[in-house]
Amino acid sequence: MNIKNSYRYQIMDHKKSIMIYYIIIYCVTILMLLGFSLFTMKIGTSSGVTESQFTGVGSATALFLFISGLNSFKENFGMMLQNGVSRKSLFLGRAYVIATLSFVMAVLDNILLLITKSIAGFLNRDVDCLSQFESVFLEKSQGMNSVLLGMESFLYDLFIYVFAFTLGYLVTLMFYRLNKQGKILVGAGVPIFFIVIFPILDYILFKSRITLFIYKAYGFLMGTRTQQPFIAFITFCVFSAVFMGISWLLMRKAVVKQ
Amino acid sequence: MLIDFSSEKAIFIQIAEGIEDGIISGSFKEESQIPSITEISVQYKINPATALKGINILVDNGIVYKKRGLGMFVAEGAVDKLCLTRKNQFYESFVIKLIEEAKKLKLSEEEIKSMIERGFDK
Amino acid sequence: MNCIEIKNITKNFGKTCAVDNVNIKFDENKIYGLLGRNGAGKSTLLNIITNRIFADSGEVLVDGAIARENDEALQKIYLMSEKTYYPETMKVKDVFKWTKTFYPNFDVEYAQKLAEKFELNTNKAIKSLSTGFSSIFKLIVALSVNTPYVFLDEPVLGLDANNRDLFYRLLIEKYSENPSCFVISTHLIEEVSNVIEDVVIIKNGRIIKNESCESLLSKGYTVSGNAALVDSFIAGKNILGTDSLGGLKSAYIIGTMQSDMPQGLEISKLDLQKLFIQLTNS
Repeated sequence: MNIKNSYRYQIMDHKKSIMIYYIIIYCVTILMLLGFSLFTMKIGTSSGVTESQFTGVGSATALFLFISGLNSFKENFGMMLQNGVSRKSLFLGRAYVIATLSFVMAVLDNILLLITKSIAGFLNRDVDCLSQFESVFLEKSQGMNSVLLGMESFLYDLFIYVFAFTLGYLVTLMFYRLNKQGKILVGAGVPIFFIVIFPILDYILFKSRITLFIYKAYGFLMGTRTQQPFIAFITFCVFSAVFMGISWLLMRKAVVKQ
Repeated sequence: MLIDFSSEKAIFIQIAEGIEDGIISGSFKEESQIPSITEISVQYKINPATALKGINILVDNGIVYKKRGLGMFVAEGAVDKLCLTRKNQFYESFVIKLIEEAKKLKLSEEEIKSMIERGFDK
Repeated sequence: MNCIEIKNITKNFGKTCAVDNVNIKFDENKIYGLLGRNGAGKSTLLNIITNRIFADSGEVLVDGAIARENDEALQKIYLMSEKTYYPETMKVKDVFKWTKTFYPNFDVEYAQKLAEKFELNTNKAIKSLSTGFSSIFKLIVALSVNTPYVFLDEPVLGLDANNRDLFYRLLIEKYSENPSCFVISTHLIEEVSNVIEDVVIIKNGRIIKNESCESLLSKGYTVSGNAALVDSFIAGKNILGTDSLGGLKSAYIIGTMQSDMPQGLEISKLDLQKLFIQLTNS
């Protein structure tokens, strides 16, 4: 099977954009943090204490991976078919790429977080640098030792990244398989449905009970209500697996556009 | 050696005859190398199998032979062999056609004979 | 013997039947011509063979193994098609590099040499190539890939006469020194008729001829001459078709030549292109 080559090629495809992303992120983050620290330090010394919070780059990376996922199918598909690679190998290579990149980026982001924490600690106690995990699970993270905190932050980032990446990939596959009318239907229809139609219907028919239920379910699955991050890990994993499963179903019958 | 692709004569036969002409005329001396299959097929843009077919005729008739690793060479005595065969074919190949054309143009036997003499005098 | 077997392949696009129960065998180490009019189904068939689209029924076997979604089998095939599936921004030399990754027998040096011969700048990005150079780039890859089976779909599209000439010479030279199976699908029948050994003709998705050129063309002959003379000669014979120009006529006859041909008639071989036109005119 050509999985190894499929993996090598697809990773190469991402290399450049990731390098640029991290150069920018590291520079911007550290500069901003230094600026933050100096700024609040000034304010702090003259007129009392001000608190600033600096959330890690997790959401930016998740968004970056989502968009990367959106761009990862069409060109690679053509290239693989041209080089005699089966869709199976393409899919498995892609799965490994998603796992690898999510892992690497979670590591890099958490290293950055450690750097910012040390800089903040050094310069100004009043600036808090938080990971995504810490922002969401505020209470829980207060009581954790830093090693465990670091690990759970890393895992949380990792699962969110896999989720975002697989979601982006699924969306682009769906659009690839849909014909023109389908694209318009889904592209316009889905947002309109969820933002406009569903809330209205729900209000009229169920007095918004479904929306409430969804809200509660979200709180539960994300572990925010119960401050149980483990459930969030599982939720993201399950969704990612489902996304990849559907992606495979869409991919196995995909053909080149003649 | 020119190949007429539209002629009734098969290409591989034309190739064989072209090489034979080269041997008779002295362009390909005995025990010297003739163009390879690759060279012939590239030159005329034909399938190598066709060129091979033509060469094989010559091999079967003992006109050329293959030296392993080196290529195809003109056999010793090839010139004599070919002249003999051609002489036997001369009547069919040339004389009959000449007479046919002559009859078409209503030339008499005497006129043909004097033309032939004129040709040899040159 | 090793070969690609296409067995009962059928493909429909909506109501149109593009490929209709096609059965062909492509033996190793032969040059085939795949001929058909526009829309006859050639490209569809090639896409099915190379796993780019899926047939509705039937199967493709490469050396006995099913080719569909089979990496090992697909590694033995390469298709050079009109559409370019390489990333637009990739440079030609990088395509060479990656092709070598996927097809280990790809000869990068040979490809570079060919690029020089065709005056192709390998530093250029795919999207910046003109139609002609796009074809040149793709045929260089096809000539260098060294897979047992190579399919060329309109290889000389947009090429000037000099480059077409160069291509045929390179193909023949390569084939002569390292035989493999080449299948050339093209509209330029006259140019390839002496290069190919076997010919497969597709009409409306069906195979109407599948034999060696020699056998196909020796099945008949052409007579040309005075129209009245030709007409009287061809009476009662199996005629494929005729061409007329004023008082002169050419007729394409299927059958063996009689030993005594009437005077005034010019005899010649069946011409592949003329034969093709006659066979595929509706």
